[in-house]
Amino acid sequence: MSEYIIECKNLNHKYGDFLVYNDLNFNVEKGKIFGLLGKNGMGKTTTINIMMGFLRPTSGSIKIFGEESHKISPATRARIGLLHEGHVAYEFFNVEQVEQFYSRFYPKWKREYYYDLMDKMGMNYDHKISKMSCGQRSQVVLGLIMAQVPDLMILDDYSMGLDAGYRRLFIEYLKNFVEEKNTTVLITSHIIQDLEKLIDDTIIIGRNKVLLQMNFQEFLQKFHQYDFQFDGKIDLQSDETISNIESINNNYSIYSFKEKNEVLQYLNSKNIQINDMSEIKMSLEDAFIGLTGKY
Amino acid sequence: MFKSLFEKEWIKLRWVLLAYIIIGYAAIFSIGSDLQYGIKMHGAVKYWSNVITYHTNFFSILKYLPIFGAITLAVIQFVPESINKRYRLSFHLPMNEQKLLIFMLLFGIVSMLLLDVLIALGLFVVSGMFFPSDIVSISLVSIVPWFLAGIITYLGTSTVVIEPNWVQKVVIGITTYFTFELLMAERLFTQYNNVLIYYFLITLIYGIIILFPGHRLRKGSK
Repeated sequence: MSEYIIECKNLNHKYGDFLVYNDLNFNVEKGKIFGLLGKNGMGKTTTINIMMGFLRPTSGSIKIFGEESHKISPATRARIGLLHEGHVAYEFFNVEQVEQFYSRFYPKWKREYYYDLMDKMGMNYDHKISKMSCGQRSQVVLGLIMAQVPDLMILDDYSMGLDAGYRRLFIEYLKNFVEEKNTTVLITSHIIQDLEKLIDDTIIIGRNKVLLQMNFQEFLQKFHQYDFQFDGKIDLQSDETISNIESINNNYSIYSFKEKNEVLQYLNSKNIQINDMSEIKMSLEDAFIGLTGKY
Repeated sequence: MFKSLFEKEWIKLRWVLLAYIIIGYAAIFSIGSDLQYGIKMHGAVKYWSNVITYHTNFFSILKYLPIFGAITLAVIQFVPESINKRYRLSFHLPMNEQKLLIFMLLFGIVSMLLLDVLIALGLFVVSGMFFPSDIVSISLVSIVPWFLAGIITYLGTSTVVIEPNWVQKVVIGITTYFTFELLMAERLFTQYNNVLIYYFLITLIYGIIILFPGHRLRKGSK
């Protein structure tokens, strides 16, 4: 029987009258890497803030290690490595001081994980965090989280402000570490091209709703893009067959989990006669944008 | 854990604390040289008579030092913990959030008090070189409300920096200002004895008020 490290049940949140999401449900299994994905402003960081007890939800609940999110005990917090959005860190410390500071809070602390990464980066130990680039700071924060040897890592928008090289470095180190330690990970991001080989399960949230909740590889295999030309206006809403439809002039792209013939039949049933429709091979980023929409 | 917290506060505040004591002793030096000059110019009898009869405050240069020190201390201590929602780093540490906040505040208060005691000691030595012990002891009692105003200003400024709600920030800021005005009201320097106990009580209340924004930040708001 699978053990859930994070259980999110019927979560609703509003900022005033603005509904962030309604009835969000997901579980994160022990040892799995779970992607909480969505475009900017869809509520990913709000979910993390609720999860870590910095925000009370309008209704519903999130439990971590069986504890309600707003009542997480210090002992449970010691099991959670949290990367804050923007790689927030105590900027008045230098590389050495920040390691010394955190080391006394965590019983399983392994300073070698941190210093290995710092040495690979060629970072001087007296380098002050306030003088670092965002990429360098991200590695310091990752090194600190790894040295904590947490049972659960929560990484909020790890990609923010990082160029492709630092994103790749971050993911490679992370993947290596979590595979070795069997760490459970919840990762949020709006840039997903680096996550293909990392994530096991995913939930993709759109405005006020869940767009997708499934195994990540299954999503990549079953989600299709079909392109065709059509003279005239097609006015279709997303439903069970059509996840999204995009158009530029008379060039249309339909995104769907259905096979090509099912989509053609569906279009026919809507009196849209298509002569030639081709399936387009998608990158992960194409699939993500296809699902969430460009706007 | 507390060793880590101590080091963190020390790294942030060491230069401010050093500046505070240097400025404090510069002020004491200035008081000493003014006294020396005054007595040389007017004669010891006339100078003493002025102080005793007209309650001339010869150490007023110290009046605003604790206030400026307190504001600087609170800003340097809590702004780096608050900008970019950085308070979440501290509140994710595996320890009780109230203990954490109390430790940080105690570090600030105890540091200020220690330096205030050193400054008071300087005043004691310098004024003892020119005045009898009665005047020296009254002088020391007279600077206590200024130091307490410093503590209240520190607590008030810290609360304003930490408080996430802007309305409450303004309310606390205004309340602190009026409390500060009360403590800094012009009095003859022999008239503080009866009110000191109330000043201590006000300071204690401020120490409790600051725990609320910290609690709200950690426990989350809707």
